[in-house]
Amino acid sequence: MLSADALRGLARRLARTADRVTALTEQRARRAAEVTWECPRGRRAVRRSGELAGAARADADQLRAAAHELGRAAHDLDHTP
Amino acid sequence: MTGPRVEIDVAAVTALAAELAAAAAELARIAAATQLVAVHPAVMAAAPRAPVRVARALAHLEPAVRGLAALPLGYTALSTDAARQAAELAAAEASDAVLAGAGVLVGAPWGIADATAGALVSAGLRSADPAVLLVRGVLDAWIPEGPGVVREVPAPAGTQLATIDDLYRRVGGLRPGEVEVTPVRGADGTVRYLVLLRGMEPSLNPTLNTPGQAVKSSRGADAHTRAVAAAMRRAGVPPGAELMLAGHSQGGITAMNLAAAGGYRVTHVVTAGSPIANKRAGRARVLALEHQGDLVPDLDGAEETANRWLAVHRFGGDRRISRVAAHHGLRTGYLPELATPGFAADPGVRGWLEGTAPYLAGQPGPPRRFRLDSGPYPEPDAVRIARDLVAGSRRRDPLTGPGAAGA
Repeated sequence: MLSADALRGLARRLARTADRVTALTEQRARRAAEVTWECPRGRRAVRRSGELAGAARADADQLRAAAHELGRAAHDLDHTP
Repeated sequence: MTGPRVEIDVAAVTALAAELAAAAAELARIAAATQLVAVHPAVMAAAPRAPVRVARALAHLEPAVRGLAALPLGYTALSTDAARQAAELAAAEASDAVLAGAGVLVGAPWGIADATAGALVSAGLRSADPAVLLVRGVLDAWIPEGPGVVREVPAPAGTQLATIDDLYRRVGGLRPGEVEVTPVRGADGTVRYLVLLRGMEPSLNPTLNTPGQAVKSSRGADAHTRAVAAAMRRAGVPPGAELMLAGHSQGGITAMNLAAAGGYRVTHVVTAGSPIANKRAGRARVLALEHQGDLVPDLDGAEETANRWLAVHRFGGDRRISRVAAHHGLRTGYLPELATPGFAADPGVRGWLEGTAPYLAGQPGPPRRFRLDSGPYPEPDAVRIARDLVAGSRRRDPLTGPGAAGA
């Protein structure tokens, strides 16, 4: 099933993208936290970085859920007469 | 020596800025690529045969795409913040209170308003750090623009605006996003108009007076310029009317954009703290006011050079980085200068004032004030298509759509 295979490919791509977003986000959040900020603006920057990391984790979860559903759609297509 | 003690590793801050900028660019690419998944032919082909799964997949995908599209902006704001601090430090090492060799800065120069962060970073590092160029590129690409809309707000009673000082005191009374249009009847009976434009709003929120919008304005016609033009139409300024424009900071950039756009006869423009070296104002006579300690006029990377249509009044010798915000401020940086004998005696200023009598000595009518807004932002096509697909699939969803069991 061409379209089922294509869906599985898209699902894998989304899952990889989710992993990449997670890795990218965690890496940046760690780096931001490593810098010594002792001024209010710097502390705000670190806090904001944490918020962005949280948002990115949620987006990555959504991507994984989308990948999962596409995989299930491919499975349905495999079993659709 | 006053201010908090600050210890920052300059190299670490600069590296962080570069990393965050790179992260922003990569997230932008990911968001764009992910949008395409939603409209992939395989997904569309599967939708009629596995409607529930596809609908659920797209329902998950849509918020993810929206979130990913927003993240680059957040990271960019962070990276500009980090890089700007590095730039300030680098400048402070040369001019401000640094304990040499200790890597410790005492008397923190953190006075620069957030508003100028996105632009100042390019002033501080434009020739040193390619990451900054990336920041500018990302900002430019990811600051969305609406059509530019206006709504009228109450204006305080008008007063005679007889001097440049009067003009800028009035500009200083404008609130964020506001523009004021005042008709003036000259001795010849002709009605001309004074348009006053304030500087940008110190935040990254999606209104018009923002750093991102300032970046857009610096490139040419933009939502801010369109909104000001709309305000002038609302104020009843007829096409071809003669105008004098006075703007501070971003307001000056927009004034130059309006003068270049045509449609009106802009005869005089005065800017304060605006980077306009790369702007041309048609046949208008332009007076640029520049505090030497204000970095903002230098953001375009060029020096405003006096010529037959442009007069430049430079003043102030205090280039301490810790005073940049004060030097750029209208009340703290520019208004004090406008009352000095040196300003009045400047031949460039006097030359610019020639021919301004119809505006400054005319009979002013009631001013009208408008609040500018970006208006609705255009939605990316891929997001719209994905939402339509989700909606269409939901209608066919036997579990939740119309006619579903138990519904």
